[in-house]
Amino acid sequence: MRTRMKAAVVAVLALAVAVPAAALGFGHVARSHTASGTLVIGSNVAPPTLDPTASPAAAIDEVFDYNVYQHLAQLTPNGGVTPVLATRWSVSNHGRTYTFFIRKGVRFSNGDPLTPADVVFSFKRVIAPKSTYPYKVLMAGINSVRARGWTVVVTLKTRDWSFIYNMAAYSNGVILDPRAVKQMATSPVGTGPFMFKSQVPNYSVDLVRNPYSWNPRTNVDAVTFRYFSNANSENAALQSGQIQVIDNALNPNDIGVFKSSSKYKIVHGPTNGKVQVTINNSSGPLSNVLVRRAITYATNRKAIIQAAQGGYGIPLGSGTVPGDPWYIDMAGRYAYNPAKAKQLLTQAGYPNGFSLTLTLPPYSYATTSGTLVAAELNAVGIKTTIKNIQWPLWLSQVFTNHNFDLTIVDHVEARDIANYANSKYYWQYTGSDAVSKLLTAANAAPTQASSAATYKAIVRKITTDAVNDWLYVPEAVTIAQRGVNGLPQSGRTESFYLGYASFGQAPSAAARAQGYGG
Amino acid sequence: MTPRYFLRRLVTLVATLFAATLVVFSLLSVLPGSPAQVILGTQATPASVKALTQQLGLDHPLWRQYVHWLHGLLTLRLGHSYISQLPIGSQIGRSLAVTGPLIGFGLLVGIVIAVPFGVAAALFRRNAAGAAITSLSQVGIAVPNFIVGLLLILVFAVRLGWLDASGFTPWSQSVWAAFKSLVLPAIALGLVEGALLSRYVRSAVLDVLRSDYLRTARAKGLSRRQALVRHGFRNGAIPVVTVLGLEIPSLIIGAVVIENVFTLPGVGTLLLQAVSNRDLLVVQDVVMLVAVVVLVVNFLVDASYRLLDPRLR
Amino acid sequence: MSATAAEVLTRSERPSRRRLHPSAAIGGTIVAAIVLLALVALFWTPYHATIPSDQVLAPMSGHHPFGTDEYGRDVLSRLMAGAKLTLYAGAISVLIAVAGGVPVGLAAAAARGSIVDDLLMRAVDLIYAFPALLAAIVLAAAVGASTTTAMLAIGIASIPVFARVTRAASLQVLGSEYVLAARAYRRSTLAILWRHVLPNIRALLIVQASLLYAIAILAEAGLSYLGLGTPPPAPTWGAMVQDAQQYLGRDPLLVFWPGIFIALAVLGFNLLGDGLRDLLDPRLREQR
Repeated sequence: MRTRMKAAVVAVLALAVAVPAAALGFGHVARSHTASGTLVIGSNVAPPTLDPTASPAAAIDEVFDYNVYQHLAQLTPNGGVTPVLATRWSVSNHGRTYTFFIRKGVRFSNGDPLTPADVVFSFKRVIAPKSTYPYKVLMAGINSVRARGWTVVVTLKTRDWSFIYNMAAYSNGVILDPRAVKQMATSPVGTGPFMFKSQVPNYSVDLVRNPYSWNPRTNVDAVTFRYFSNANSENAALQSGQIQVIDNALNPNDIGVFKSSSKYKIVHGPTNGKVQVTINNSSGPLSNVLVRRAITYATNRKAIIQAAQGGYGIPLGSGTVPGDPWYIDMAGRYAYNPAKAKQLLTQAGYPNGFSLTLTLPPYSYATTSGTLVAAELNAVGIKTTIKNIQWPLWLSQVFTNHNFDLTIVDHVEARDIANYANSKYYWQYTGSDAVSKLLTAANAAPTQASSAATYKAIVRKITTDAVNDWLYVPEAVTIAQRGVNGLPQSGRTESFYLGYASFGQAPSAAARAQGYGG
Repeated sequence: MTPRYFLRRLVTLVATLFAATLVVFSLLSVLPGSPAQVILGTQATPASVKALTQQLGLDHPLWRQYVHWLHGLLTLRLGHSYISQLPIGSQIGRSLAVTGPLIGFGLLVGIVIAVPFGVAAALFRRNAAGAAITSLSQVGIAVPNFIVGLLLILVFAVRLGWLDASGFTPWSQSVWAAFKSLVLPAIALGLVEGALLSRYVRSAVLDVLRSDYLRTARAKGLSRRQALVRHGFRNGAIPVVTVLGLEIPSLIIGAVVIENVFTLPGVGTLLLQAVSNRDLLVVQDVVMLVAVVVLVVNFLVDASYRLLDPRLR
Repeated sequence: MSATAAEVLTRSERPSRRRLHPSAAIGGTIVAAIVLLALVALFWTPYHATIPSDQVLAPMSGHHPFGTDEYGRDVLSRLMAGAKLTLYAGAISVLIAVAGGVPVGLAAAAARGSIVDDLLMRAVDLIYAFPALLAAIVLAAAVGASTTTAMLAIGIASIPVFARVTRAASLQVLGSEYVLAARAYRRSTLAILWRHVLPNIRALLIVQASLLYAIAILAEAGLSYLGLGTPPPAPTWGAMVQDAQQYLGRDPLLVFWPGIFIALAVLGFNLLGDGLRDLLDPRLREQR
C-alpha cells in the first residue's frame, strides 16, 4: 500500500515535469513568422486611433501618413518637399494665392476616383468652425478654397512662407474621400500605396498593397506594425525573426548586439525633434536670464546624448534644427562649463544655489536625460528634485496651468519657432512680443531668403535670452535585417514610408535621392 | 445555508457592486486633465478642445454622465472609446480572450505544482525531503513573478530560442500559436501561485491525516489510502477551494504584471494604456470588470464553502 | 462570510509541534541583516547611489562588488539605499493597513451582528474589490506615481486583511470568560477592547503584520516595475529591475541582483511571521 502511494506521488510529479517539457519541446519547430512578402515592423507606441485628423499622436502618422493617406505635397527624409497628389503648383498675388494642379487618374483604395472636389472637401474640413483638427491653427490663414477645373485654388489672408511645408508635414494636409469619412476611425481610406487591412488595438496594425494605387507597385505585399512596450521584447523579437525591422529604437543605448552583428544594419538620421529642458521663465530665480544661462552652462549635452540616445543625437543650442532654412548651430554658445555656471549663479545673487523641481513625463528620453540633468544641476548648487508624472497630468499641470519649474520634453513639431512669439506658451517667455514682431516681418518678407534671415534673428534672440536649455536633436535609429532595403534614412517625416521598401532589391535612384536608401 | 441567508448575501453583493460603481466613477471624474486636451495635444486651440469636449458629452453634469454609464454597464452596451472610437465591448472581449486563458493556465500550472509538492511535503514531513520541499515553497513565494518571467525569457527565448519572448497570436488565427504564446507567461504566473498553494495543500493534507474522521474510518476497517480518498479529499478540499477563491485578486494583479513583461494584449495592457491616454470610459469599465469578478468570486467561494462544510450549515 | 474563511484557515494552518522553529530564527536573521544594511545606508554607502559616472555597466570587481548600472552607478550602493527605501515603503504600507484595519475590525466585533458590523464589513469588502494595483493606477494618473502613492495604494488595499483578522480574533476574545466577567462589572466596551481584546490579539496582529510586510515589499516591487511606484532615480529594488530589464541580454545580473534581494526580504519576513506564529501558537490556542 505504502509503495503504491509513493508510486502515485512519483507518477504525478513526473507528469508535472514531463507535460510542460513536451510542450516546450514542440516549440522547437522551425518558425517562419511572416507570409512571403510581408514586412513586419516593430515599434513602441501603438496608434491611439486610426484617424490622423483626430489626434496629433506621431504613432498614427508613422503607419498611415504617406502609406495610406497622401497629401498634395509631401516631405522627404532628405528634408525637401516633393509633389504627390498635386503635380505642381504656382504661387501668385504676393504669395497669397496657391494654384494646385491635381494629378489625374488617382483612385482611393475603395475604387472612388480622386477629384478636385475631394481636395476642397479635405481643406474645408480642417478650417470648419467646429473642426477639431489638432493642427488647425496652422491653416488659420486660409481665406478660401475652391476648385477650378482640374485645379484647386487656395487663397490666404497674408503671405505664409511655411504654408506648403506645413501642409506637407501635418495631418491637416491629408486628402480624404468624402464618402468614407464617417468610418475614418475604423476603416481608413486613402490614395496611398498601401491600404488598411485590420488592427488589434495596442498590439498590431496590418496594411496590404492598395490595388487601386497610382503609385509604382510596392515591392512588399503587406506590412504589419507590431507594438512593444519594452525594448527588451522588441530586441528579442528582432533577434528571433518575429520582426524584420525596428522603427525608432526605444533604447538606442542597447543596440550593441545588433551593431556588432553582420546580420543587421543600422540606419539613422535626424528628426525634427528638440529635446529640451523647458524653463519656466516666470518662476522665481528662473526669471533671471543669468540663471537660465547658468543652467545651460551646467548641462553636459554630450553625456546626455550618450546616456539617453546611445550617441545618436545632435547637440542643440537653440530652438531650431538642422534642416530648418534658418538653422544656426548655437550648440557652442553655452558649452558645458560648470565653473562658469556657478559664477553666473553667484552673479545673479544665488551664491549658494537654490532649489527647484524637475517635472518629467514618462518617456525614456525624459527620465534618462532627467537623471543626468538633475545630477549636473546639483553639482553647481541647484538642488533639483525629480517628479515623474503621466502625460495627461503633464498636459494639464505643466502645459496648461504652467505649474512647473523645469521639465524635459521633446518638441517634435517641425519649424515651430513661432511658439516663441506666443506670450501664453507654457514657458512664458517675456520677450515674446519682440519675437512676434520679427515673425510678422519674416512672414511678410518678399523673398524666401529674406524671410529666413529674419527668422535667424529670432533664433539669435531666443538664444541670447536663454529661454530654454536646448539639449539635442534625437536621431531616429532604425535596425533592420540586412536585405531589407528602401527604408527612410531619417526621422524628418513622421511617416515611416514603406513605398520603396523591399526584400533584397537595391533602392532605385529616385528612392535614394529622396532619402529612402536605407 | 438557508435560502434566506443566501438571499441576504445576494442583496449585499448587489449593493456592494452598486457602491463600487459610485466609487469608481467619482474617483475617475476628479482626475485632472481634460480628455479632449489630451486627445488633441499641445497645438490645439481652446476652441477645438471645447468643441471636442462637447462632442464627447463630457460637458454634461456629472450625475447625468454617471447614469448614462451605469445604464451602459447594466445593458452591456458599453459604447465607444473617446480616443479610438472603437466599441469598448469588443476591446474588452478581445483582451479577455488573452487574460482569461492566461489566468486559467496559470492556475492550472499552480495546481499541477501545488498538489504533488504539497502532498509530498506533508507525507515526507518527518525527513529532510519534506524540509527541502517546504523551504523551496518559501523561496517560491518570495521571488517576484516578473523576475521569474524575465528569467524565463532569458533562458527559453533569448538563449534557447524555443519560444517567443513576447507577443500573442490571436486564437482565431492559430490555436496552437496562441497557446504557445501563453506557455511562458502561464508558467511565470503559476510558479509563484503553485508555491503558495502548495503550503495550503500541505496543511490540508496534514489536517486530514490527523483528523478524527480518518481514525474513525480506519477503525471501521478502511485502509489508510481508502480513508484518505473517501473522506480526506472532501474535507481537505475546503480550505484549498477557499484559498483559490481568495487568490483571484492577486492572480489578476499577477496577470497584469506578466502581461507587461511578455507584452500580451490583455486586460492589464488595455487598462494601463487607457489610463495614460485618459480613455476614461475604458478605465471605468475595466476597473468595474475586475471589481465584479473579485466580488462575485468571493461570493461564490463563500457559498460553496458553506455548502461543502456541513458544520456551518 | 469570509471572516469564517480566515478563521478556518488559521485553524488549518495550525502546525504540528515538530514544525520548524528555525523559521523564526532564520527569518529573524535575514530581516535583521536587511535592517542593518538599511541602517548603514542611512549614513554611508560605498559610492553615491544616484550620481552617474562613466563606468557604465561594469562587471563585478573589487571596486564594485556588484558591478555598475547603465549610468555607472555602483550597484551595491544602490542595493543598500534600496534596502532603506524598500523597508520604509513596506513599513508605511503596513502602518496604514493596521491603522485602518484594526479599529474597523474591533468596532465590527464589538458591534457584532448589528447593522454597524454589517456596514463595516461590507465597506471592507468594497475595498477588497479593488486590488492595490487599481488604486495605484488611479493615484498615479491623478497625481503622478511616487513612493507615496504606492504606499497608500498598498496600505489601503491591505486594510481588509487586518480588519477581518482583527474581527475574527476579537470575537473569540469577546466570547471568553474574562470579558463576560468584565461586562458583569459594567465595564465600557472601549475599556474591554483596550484591556482585554487588544493585548490578547496583539500577538496575532504582529504575525499578520510581518506577513503583510512581505506582501507589501512584493507589491511595491511590482508597482515600481510597472512604473506606478517609486520613480527613478530613487533606487527601490523594484525600480532597479525596471531600469535594468532593457539590458537583460547584455547584463542579466543587473536585473537579478535586486530581484534576489527582494526575494530575500520577502522570505525573511515570511519566515519570521511563520516562526512567530508557531512560537505564539500555544497561547493562541488557549483563547479558543
